[in-house]
Amino acid sequence: MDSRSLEIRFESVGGLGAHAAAEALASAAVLKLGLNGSAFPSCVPERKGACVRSCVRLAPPGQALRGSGELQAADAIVVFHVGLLRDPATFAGLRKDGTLIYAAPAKSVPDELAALPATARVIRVDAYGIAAKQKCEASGVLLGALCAAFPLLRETGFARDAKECEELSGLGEHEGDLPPVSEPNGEPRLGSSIWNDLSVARSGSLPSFNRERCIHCAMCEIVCPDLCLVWEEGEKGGRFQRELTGVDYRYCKGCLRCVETCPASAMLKKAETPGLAERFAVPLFPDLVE
Amino acid sequence: MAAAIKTQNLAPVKLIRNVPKEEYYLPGHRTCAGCGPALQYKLVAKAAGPNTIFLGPTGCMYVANASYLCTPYAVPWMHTQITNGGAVASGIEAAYKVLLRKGKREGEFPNIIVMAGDGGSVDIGLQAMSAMMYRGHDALFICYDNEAYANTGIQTSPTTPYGGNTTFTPPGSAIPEGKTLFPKDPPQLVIGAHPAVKYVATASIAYPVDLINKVRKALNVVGPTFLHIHCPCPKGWGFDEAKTVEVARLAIETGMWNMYEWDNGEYRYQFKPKKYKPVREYLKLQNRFAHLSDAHIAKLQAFVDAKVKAKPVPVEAAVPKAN
Ligand SMILES: Cc1ncc(C[n+]2csc(CCOP(=O)(O)OP(=O)(O)O)c2C)c(N)n1
Ligand code: SF4
Ligand code: SF4
Ligand code: SF4
Ligand SMILES: [Mg+2]
Repeated sequence: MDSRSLEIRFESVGGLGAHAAAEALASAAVLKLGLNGSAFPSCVPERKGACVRSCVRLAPPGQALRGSGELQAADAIVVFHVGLLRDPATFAGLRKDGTLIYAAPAKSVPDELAALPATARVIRVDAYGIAAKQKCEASGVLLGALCAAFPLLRETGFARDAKECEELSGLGEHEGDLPPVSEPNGEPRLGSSIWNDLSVARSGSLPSFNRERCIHCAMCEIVCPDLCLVWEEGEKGGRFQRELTGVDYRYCKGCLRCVETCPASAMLKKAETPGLAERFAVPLFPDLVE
Repeated sequence: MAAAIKTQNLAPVKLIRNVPKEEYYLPGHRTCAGCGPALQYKLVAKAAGPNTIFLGPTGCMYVANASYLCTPYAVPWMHTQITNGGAVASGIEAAYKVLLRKGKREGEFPNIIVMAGDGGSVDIGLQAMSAMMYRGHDALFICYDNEAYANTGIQTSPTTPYGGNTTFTPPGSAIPEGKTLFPKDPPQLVIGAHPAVKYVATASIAYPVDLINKVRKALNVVGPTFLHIHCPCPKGWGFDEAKTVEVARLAIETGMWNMYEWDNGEYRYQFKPKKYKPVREYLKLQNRFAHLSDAHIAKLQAFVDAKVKAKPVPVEAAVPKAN
């Protein structure tokens, strides 16, 4: 390790274990490698629905670690949910010789990676696929991929077989370091939360709506904490005052409470495949300017 | 002094279909999937309508909602310290009264609602809440009860049930049941010690129409009012986030939670089961009780049995139809 500290950011959604992974890494660096280390979560609890960020700083024994704020720049960024790559804040501050590790199945290479430094290393690992197969935690797989990618971190005991990872090249188009994080977790949209995109809070399933079956009873509406259901005025002289037209998946966290409550099986649990939500979403605010 | 500023009469709703469609608690907030307190917020905001000011003591319903400079509120809202929701409400109420009296402001007196967690209501926020109730300010204090200090990572609060596993009451060999104390009783605390209060009620997200009507009733009263709203927290209690409403309903069916109104001295009960289910049915859905032994469950059952039999039990109202 050179005299500069090693700075690593974990970008995640609550509930995926990023804070725990960051703490484990810093602890192992101190206890097993004899380094100085610290781990700081951006916001204390891991809430599903909230983006969470943990920052790890490691330094050689003689070099004290003082900072406790968020890392503006990073040598490595580990992305726990591929959906987070849609937000440039996720990889902001990546140094030109930095490493980006993201969790996604094979062949999943989001276009957004073009914004990375051309000289950065990009590593994809199917953390969730591997975790499901091996009945382990995906956060452990990601931590393992990180430790495998940095020779210094191999002795932590977390490193996994580098063969699990795919190193991608020729993706980034940016010259030099990426500009630092300007605002925590995403562009600040002063005022209303309706600009937020909560899609990353879903964990594999979404409610799929079948209008033919719907009796427009609003039971789903009255149990959904997130205001995702879109209504229109019912037909004049028709049976219903208001009719449900669909779900705005931008706000849906996939709790499936609507599915649980619907008396007509008009909301059904469906596995979320890439692009599914975008295809069927009905916008709640059609005039929302991005 | 020009009194009688408050003339509003928010009408009760009968069925889900009559619930107003306007929303004042918008989406995009960063609460957990299936969050009980968030659903409660949405219903309270609907019930109160546009002429409302929300005060948010620190807690999940501040931090997860109002993160990074944007909020889901479509009515005025202000953050207060976790300790002083009641004091800020008192000040705002007093200021509005003066402005209206001096003719510097016209129109209806606003609904002033403190949206406080259990910690922000009856533990760390107790003194300011009690002072607001004691002095008789015209505001509604809501304790949304997720039975823990949730925002900081689920620590025990005075409303955490006996046997609850929280980060401050972990079960272990020394204290196998986790939390050993039985909970504080927020509505009784308000009723028993605050003569200015005329309306107190309990509500639950399991019965949204009842919840909306209690909010409206409380807001129609001139003077301080208090609502204690049961809001299961999938993260803190450890249950499947699709089951939030089911957990809330089971709390009522087992007697763990009791639904009633206290209206100027008179009690009315709602959704009181003819026969209570065993508390075990409620406990078994939640990880926070997974460690309890039969003896612990029996102790909790005895507590609940005594509670549902205890006075006051006057005026039994007809049970409204479940929605
Ligand atoms: C004076 C003070 N002490 C402690 C805290 C830390 N704190 C922030 S939110 C919170 C938990 C609040 O619990 P509760 O009121 O029940 O709301 P919940 O988070 O459960 O919704 C605590 C302890 C604080 N903000 N201020
Ligand atoms: S609960 Fe089911 S039937 Fe009723 S409005 Fe929702 S989707 Fe339609
Ligand atoms: S799954 Fe259903 S209830 Fe849950 S957030 Fe999505 S639309 Fe709302
Ligand atoms: S911790 Fe509980 S109360 Fe807080 S946002 Fe999550 S579900 Fe809601
Ligand atoms: Mg609480």
